[in-house]
Amino acid sequence: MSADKRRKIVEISHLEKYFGTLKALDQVSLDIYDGEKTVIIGPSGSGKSTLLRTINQLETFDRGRIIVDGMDISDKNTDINKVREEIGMVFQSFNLFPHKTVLENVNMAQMIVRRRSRDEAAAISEGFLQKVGILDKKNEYPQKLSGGQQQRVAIARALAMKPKLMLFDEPTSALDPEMIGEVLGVMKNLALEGMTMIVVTHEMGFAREVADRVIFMDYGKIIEEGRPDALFRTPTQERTRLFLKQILKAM
Amino acid sequence: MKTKNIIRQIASIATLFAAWQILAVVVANPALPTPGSAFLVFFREISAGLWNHFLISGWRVLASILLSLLVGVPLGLWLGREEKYDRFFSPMLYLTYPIPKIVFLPLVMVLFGLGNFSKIFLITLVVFFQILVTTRDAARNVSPALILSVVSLGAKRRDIYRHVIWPAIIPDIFTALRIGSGTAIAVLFFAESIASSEGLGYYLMDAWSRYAYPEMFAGIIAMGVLGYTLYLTIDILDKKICSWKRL
Ligand SMILES: Nc1ncnc2c1ncn2[C@@H]1O[C@H](COP(=O)(O)OP(=O)(O)OP(=O)(O)O)[C@@H](O)[C@H]1O
Ligand SMILES: [Mg+2]
Repeated sequence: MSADKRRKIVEISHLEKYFGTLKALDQVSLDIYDGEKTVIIGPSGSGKSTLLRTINQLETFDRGRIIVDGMDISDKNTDINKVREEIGMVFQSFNLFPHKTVLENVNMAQMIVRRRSRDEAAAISEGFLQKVGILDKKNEYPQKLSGGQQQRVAIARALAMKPKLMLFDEPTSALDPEMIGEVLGVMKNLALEGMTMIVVTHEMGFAREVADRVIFMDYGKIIEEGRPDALFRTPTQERTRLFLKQILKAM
Repeated sequence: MKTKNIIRQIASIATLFAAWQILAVVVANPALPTPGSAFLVFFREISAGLWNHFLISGWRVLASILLSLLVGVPLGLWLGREEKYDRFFSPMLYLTYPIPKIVFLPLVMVLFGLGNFSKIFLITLVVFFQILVTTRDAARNVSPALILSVVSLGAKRRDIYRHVIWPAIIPDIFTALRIGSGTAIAVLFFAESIASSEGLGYYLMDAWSRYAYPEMFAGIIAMGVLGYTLYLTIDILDKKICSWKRL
């Protein structure tokens, strides 16, 4: 796959981020191309979430540059909400509104951010609910849904904004094992359709099957990156090797 | 369903009156008239002058509650969402919150006289704190993860307030309102019973001083009706606003 010929969706260069004196991101540089699937792995506290969150400015950063779809997000004149509209994010927790139905949950951001009418939004929502296989639950309240179903609604909600890039931060970590598959399945389909995705996950099967490349982070740095089979089988860095050994033992 | 509810309400009130009747018969003292004689006096008094006292008290309570909401809700929202200001104001709040505000009645009368305003001020002082603290805590407790997920969808600050924080705190504001209106009537009684010439508190104390027990109970009934009306209004608003909010 010649990703390099395609357009860059995200350009991150020499990114640094501190929490007080803690260096959460250390000289991170990373380009994401249109249609590319990137999986980020690494130990707890290595800065994976922080990296994702700087891309849509849920976290600020201290040094470096991030350009998203041509918009420089360190530029004060850039409307950050415009950038966020291009980026869908799915979190570990599903964060649906408990007092709104599934359909209303998916409609809401479309109506207040994209200024779609209710009917227009609902038509789009239903399309995406269908896609994540949960249209039959559209009038239910989130509490009635399983974790896997709620996470699929959260994915539909993000997709309904028609983002150019999807960020997933451990989307299956809060799920019971039997529900992980259905969420990963939805993500795989999304990947097949060509969505650009950055996924923090320790689901190695998913990484092997879907990722164009895997990035290993530790101590806020990108330690190593490569195609999944190569990185998993023959990591060049000792830390990567140790981490993979641990992960595989745990699974 | 609806008629069942109404029947339950009537049964509840009837039970209360039955208990009153029994107690009055047992006690057999002019200080506790039977409900029958109390209501007779109540209806007589209503057309005489009690109605005016009722209206004045009602207006004072209503104005106080509205004023408390007007000041307490925005302030509570602000403190609940802006940690650094809350850190400055909350010691102040916790020091003054437990003080029974009615001890300030003499000061309030010196400052604002004996008229409507000093009553409204005192009641507002009490109810305002309850609304402020409840609103602040509710606003503070809105799930940060939920807010972040909506921010990530591109929602502006204003939208977050309007569509996430506001709907989340409305039920708590109604709870505060229910508790607050009970307190409001208690404070109203106190404020009206001292150096006053109008209102249910005055009416009650005046009857008491004349040992006119049936009239005193007419005043008590009027106060009950005032409280009941207030609760009913709050309930209706709650249902209306909450069903609208869900859309
Ligand atoms: N809001 C914050 N304030 C202070 N420190 C933070 C904050 N958020 C993250 N950190 C710290 O920054 C470092 C990176 O955190 P981050 O959440 O990005 O790690 P992670 O790789 O996502 O870990 P995990 O696998 O546990 O999710 C950690 O040491 C964490 O404690
Ligand atoms: Mg994380």
